[in-house]
Amino acid sequence: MRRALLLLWLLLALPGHAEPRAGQISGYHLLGEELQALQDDDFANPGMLWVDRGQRAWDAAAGASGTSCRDCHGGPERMQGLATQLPRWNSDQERLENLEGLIRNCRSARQQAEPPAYESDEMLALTTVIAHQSRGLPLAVAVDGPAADAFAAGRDAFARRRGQLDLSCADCHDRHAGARLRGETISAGMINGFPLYRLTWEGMGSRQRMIRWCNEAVRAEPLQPDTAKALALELFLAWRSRGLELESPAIRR
Amino acid sequence: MYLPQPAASVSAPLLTCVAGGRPSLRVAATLLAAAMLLLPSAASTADCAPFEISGDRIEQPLAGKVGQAGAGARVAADRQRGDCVICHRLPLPEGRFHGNLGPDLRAVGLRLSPAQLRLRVAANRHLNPESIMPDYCRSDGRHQVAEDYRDHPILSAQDIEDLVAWLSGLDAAEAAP
Ligand code: HEC
Ligand code: HEC
Repeated sequence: MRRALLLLWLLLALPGHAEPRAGQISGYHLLGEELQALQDDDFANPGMLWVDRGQRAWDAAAGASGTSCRDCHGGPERMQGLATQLPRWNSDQERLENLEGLIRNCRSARQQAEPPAYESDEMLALTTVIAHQSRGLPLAVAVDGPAADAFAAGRDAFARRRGQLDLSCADCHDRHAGARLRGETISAGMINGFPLYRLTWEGMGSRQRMIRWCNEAVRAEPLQPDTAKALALELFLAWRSRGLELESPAIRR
Repeated sequence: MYLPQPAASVSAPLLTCVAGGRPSLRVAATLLAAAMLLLPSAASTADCAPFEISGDRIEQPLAGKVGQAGAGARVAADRQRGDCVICHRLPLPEGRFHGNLGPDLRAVGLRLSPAQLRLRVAANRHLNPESIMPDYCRSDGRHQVAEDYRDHPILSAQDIEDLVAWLSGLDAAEAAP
């Protein structure tokens, strides 16, 4: 059954196409039944712990303003749909903004508190509870208008070979999706699951953590989150994953 | 299982994203790699050794080194060096966890001569520029290489000769695991 699915997927994902539409498939389909069941069960899914933590962080007053996220926004459910649209272009700041960036802005400008660091527990909790509100909704980022240049840069970054191993993201996730890299089947590199719980990490991680991880594996210069290049890549990945349902908190190997 | 640090660590294992190494081994390997980086290196910033390609071969051993099969097996398994098993099935432990991005090499010695193997390991993209397999003796023409690896080919001439010596003897008969 899994073989048949993989074969079907490979047929769809065969190289030679610039647009990934046909080869798009959530990493969920590589999980195997047991891990799929784990992801699907809200009581067993370890990522749901982070949704709970996020809920508490959402309600906690912070900073000189003494306000919580709830004071300004109401419940986290008011954020439904937001994560499907990120990153997006911020015309005032003339840059792309992802979920972490939005949270950091709110924290410093409105709550007047120290913004949570990338990958800190608090950041993962907040991003997970917010992304979770969009579970089941299709990813739909805007890549035209003012975002067009950043999108083009992200597309280039995905295709460009880099690092001492001289491999591109596309080498693995477009051209060799479905093949095995050591014990691990390479997925189509979709980002509809994030923030997600990865067994290899024994913990939660963001989209940017994944980008950094793959990038470091080919011994390339580190891609710092919150830089134009990393955000452009995130935008391109979100566009590649367009139409897929957001799964956060997903489980991945 | 481990998480690569965001800042460039001294030695990021090749593609360890896939499976963490045993910590003790990793520490040892990291120390070794660090020690190697501290050694004065006469190597230029380009190839691991000068070489001449004729057809689909490199006839002369790189830098005149003599390869040792046993050492070659270790290079192929070593995550800091060859790590060939991420892409190829080889007669090494944990065979079912080896990758299949490249062909099964358990009988490669029956198909390819040492001179052919040498080119494929040293500069495979000379034969197929699109290939996913890196050029192990080259370092030029690369982009955005992490500082610690910049201008260093992935393997040394000795490593590659060791691999050639090992691979040329592989004939599947002894494909154990
Ligand atoms: C040599 C192979 C290789 C390269 C190059 C590579 N990756 Fe990956 N990537 C993997 C493997 C293996 C995994 C873990 C299994 C999986 O989910 O695909 C992974 C996972 C991912 C995932 C998570 C998929 C999911 O379902 O959660 C994303 C997103 C991703 N990679 C993006 C990238 C980006 C961006 C680049 C370039 C900077 C890149 N990859 C380069 C091998 C690679
Ligand atoms: C990222 C993937 C990858 C890695 C790592 C890799 N290879 Fe390969 N290798 C390939 C692919 C794919 C081919 C098929 C031919 C091609 O694409 O040029 C190949 C072909 C070969 C061949 C020719 C086999 C034949 O039957 O023609 C040899 C020999 C070889 N590799 C040896 C090695 C050795 C030794 C290492 C480690 C030092 C290594 N490879 C690392 C992907 C890889």
